[in-house]
Amino acid sequence: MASRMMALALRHQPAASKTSLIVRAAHSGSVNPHLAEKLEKLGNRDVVGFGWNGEPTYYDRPDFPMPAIRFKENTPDVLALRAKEKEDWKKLSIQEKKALYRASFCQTFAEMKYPTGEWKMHLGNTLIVFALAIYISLWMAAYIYDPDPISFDEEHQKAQLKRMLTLEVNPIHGLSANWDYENKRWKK
Amino acid sequence: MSIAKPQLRGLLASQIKKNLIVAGVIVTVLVTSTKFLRNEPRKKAYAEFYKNYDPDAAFQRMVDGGYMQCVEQR
Repeated sequence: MASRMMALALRHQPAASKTSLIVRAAHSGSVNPHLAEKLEKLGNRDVVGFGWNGEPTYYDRPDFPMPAIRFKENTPDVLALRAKEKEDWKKLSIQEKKALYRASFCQTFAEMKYPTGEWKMHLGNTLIVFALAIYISLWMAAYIYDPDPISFDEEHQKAQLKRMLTLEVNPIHGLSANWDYENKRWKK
Repeated sequence: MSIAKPQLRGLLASQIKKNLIVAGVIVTVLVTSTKFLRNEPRKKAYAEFYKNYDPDAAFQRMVDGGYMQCVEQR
């Protein structure tokens, strides 16, 4: 709870550092082990915002582009670039702008959104499962199911069709619509 | 490099407006095509069938076939 309040408080500062976190932890009386582990992983990085849940984590998310911490730790040359960033941006070369970006972020939007081709794996697995299902159903039909009832044979099916035509089943759009009653045969 | 200024406010409202127009157009097209390509021909087909339909002859056919359990076959 104390660590969460610290994270909330730090949100209002443009860039906090680890020392301020430690100072506040000392003032609150005790450093809980969860916070200590987090501080270790944090290293020298700036905490630059709240992130998506208040934790000082980094992840490239196209739907939440501002992680809570910078990507790379602060080194002297990065800090020098940051100082230069405070002046006129037209004086920054394109390499310096790119270096500043890569210090704060791991991938560009183009890189993080690049298609992975994972859909091919999913499609392949789906088709494999379909094929297995067809194999199994054929095997079931050949070995497991009881034989067809007698009403499935040719003679019985003809009798059923004759009954349906005489009773004029679907006479407008369906079965009997295709039967020529005068000449007793199928319409062309 | 200068591109046009993107729309910064009212994004949901403009999205809703666009979606409403698209939905209206699609619905109109689908409904009119269903009416004229499916419903009207079906109504005509039913009218044609029943214009010259002789139900007594049809019933006699069914009785002669022996398929009426409640009527004696003569």
